Amino acid sequence: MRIFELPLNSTKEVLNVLPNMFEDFIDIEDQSFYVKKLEDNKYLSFAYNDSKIVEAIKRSNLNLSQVQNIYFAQIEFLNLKEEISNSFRVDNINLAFIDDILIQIPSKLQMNKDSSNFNIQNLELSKDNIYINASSKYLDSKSAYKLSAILLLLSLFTFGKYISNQQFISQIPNKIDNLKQNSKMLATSLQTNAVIKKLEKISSKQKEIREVLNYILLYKGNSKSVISSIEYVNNVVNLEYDNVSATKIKTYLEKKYQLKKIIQKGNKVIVGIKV
Amino acid sequence: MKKLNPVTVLLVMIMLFMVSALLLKQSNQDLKNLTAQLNNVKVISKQYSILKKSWDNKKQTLESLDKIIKSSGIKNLSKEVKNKKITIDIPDSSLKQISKFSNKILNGNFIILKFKITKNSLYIEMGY
Repeated sequence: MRIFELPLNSTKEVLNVLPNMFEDFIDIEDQSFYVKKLEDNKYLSFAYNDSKIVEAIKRSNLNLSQVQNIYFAQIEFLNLKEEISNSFRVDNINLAFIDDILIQIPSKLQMNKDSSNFNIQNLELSKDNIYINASSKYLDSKSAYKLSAILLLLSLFTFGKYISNQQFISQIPNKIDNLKQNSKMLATSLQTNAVIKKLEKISSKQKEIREVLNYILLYKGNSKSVISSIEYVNNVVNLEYDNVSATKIKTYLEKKYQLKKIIQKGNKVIVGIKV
Repeated sequence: MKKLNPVTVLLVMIMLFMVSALLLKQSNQDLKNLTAQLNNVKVISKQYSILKKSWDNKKQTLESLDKIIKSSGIKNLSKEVKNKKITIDIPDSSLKQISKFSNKILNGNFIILKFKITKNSLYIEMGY
């Protein structure tokens, strides 16, 4: 603990320079600082080690969660200095103010007979206190609460998205049922797929028949060439040509289709095309 | 009142976030699967409707065929609907009428099972 006279106006400014003020006297690593303004440009300051306070609380068989706040005896008793004698006892601990600084007197030293016992229960605590975060030396309370708030917001967002997803999910089966009803689909997808397969086969076959006929009709022989008959039976298209060259018609048709037969009878050519 | 430990609060929030993230991940997966299923049903239902309308529609087949017959003006045409089969027989007509009639049949969505076309006759068997 030190009392400084500094040309600074706020305790916040003093806190910023405190480590430098203490480093000549103590190792400031792992030290926390507290400052109280006594009067203009005069400050009472403390350097303390969180873990040492936590250890002291543990040695006293107290649970840290039961400790609301931690107060500095120097500050709490300073205002009572006039009321109590310079030396006094608190729970068998001998204390005394020497040059306005509260010090603990070793118990072996003779105490002034006038030293009174001070009942700590009667002490009205000031607002000057500190909070010790014993849980993690890597994370202070403020950061922990900030992170918690961010995580809470993220959780709320993800829950919101989850609820929105669930609403969409609950609507999908109805949409599927409506689609099935509107298109008069069969009860099971297996039945529907079987019908689709059957109809696709029909569609494909019918297109094929029309393509074959279209290709046949595109052939241009000589001026006397005519198709006297076209027949489709058992997946075969049978053609009867008059006045065509069997070789030419064979070459033309075989470019696209496999011929089942080609027979020339006089000026007639009979062709069978497998569809 | 017991003071809340900020680290405990943080741990609870981490757990809460993890639970919400896991739930969201699962629901995203469910949504993805169901959306894929819905899209699949959309495709299948469209395909089913088109195919049924084109190739499995007795009423439309008969109506279309009657329109073609009526507009052809062919008098000696016989039509028979029996055992899921439609038979059209034109024993004697002009090449022009035969050609026009057969073109209309071939351009329509009729299931042709059998046919024979000559210069002056036509015989077709269709399914429905």
